[in-house]
Amino acid sequence: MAEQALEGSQPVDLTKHPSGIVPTLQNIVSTVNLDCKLELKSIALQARNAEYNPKRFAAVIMRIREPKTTALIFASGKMVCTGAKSEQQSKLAARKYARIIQKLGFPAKFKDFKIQNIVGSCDVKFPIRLEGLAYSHGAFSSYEPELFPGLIYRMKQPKIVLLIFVSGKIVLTGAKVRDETYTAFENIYPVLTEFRKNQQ
Amino acid sequence: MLSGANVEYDLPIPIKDESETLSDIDDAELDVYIHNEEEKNMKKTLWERAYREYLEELLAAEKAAAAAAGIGTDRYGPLAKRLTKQG
Repeated sequence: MAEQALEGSQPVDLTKHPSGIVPTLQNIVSTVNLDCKLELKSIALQARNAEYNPKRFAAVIMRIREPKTTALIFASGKMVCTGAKSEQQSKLAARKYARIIQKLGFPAKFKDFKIQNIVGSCDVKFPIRLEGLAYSHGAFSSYEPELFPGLIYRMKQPKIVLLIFVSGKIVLTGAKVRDETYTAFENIYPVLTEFRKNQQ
Repeated sequence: MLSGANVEYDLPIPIKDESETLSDIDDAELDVYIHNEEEKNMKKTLWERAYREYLEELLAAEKAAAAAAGIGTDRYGPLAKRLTKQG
């Protein structure tokens, strides 16, 4: 039986999350090929939930309420879906957009669906000495507090970019599968504890 | 279903190359996103008025390209006529 610990009201699987913290997924970006040419003006004029400003951007912007997402739909038939909180929701939303396109009269398919990016975030709940961390991990760190208050940490394996803030809030981006997010956080957690800022 | 704080564990979604049917999507839910005929016509009029300049530029560009390629411009007649009527 997996060792369990309480984090809030939910048990955390410590074999997978030894830190006891599970990053929350905040945004999923996915792509799919509808595999047919689209007339964007026709889509924009028929759909209530569509914006199309060809002088500004060469895609229809479409939104649905559930899952709450935004899609970019291109004349080539390629579509980008953003805003979902899980992989499953991203795929469901993409399928709904594809179905709407079908109902507008286009022979849309649903080919090569792929999760392109996963953004996660969590809070270690203790302050962090960013200067010390940046100095010690110089090869991976970029810290310019005058430009941006967070330390940018480019982890090599997995290839994830982390934003580390003095408050202890962490953002992780660049994952294609959620385990990359989880692994990156478990990798950085001992470093964060090492550079914990002691309260005075 | 194993859950963490504010996290729902979803199984990884297998990537398929073949086209998938979308027949299980609830059409009634999506119908609210689609204009009826009257709304569609109204929106068309408004859109074409708002983007008249863009449409004229598009037409001019297409005519220039057609001329450069030695192709007749009859195929652009309907749009030109529509613009002329409005102008």
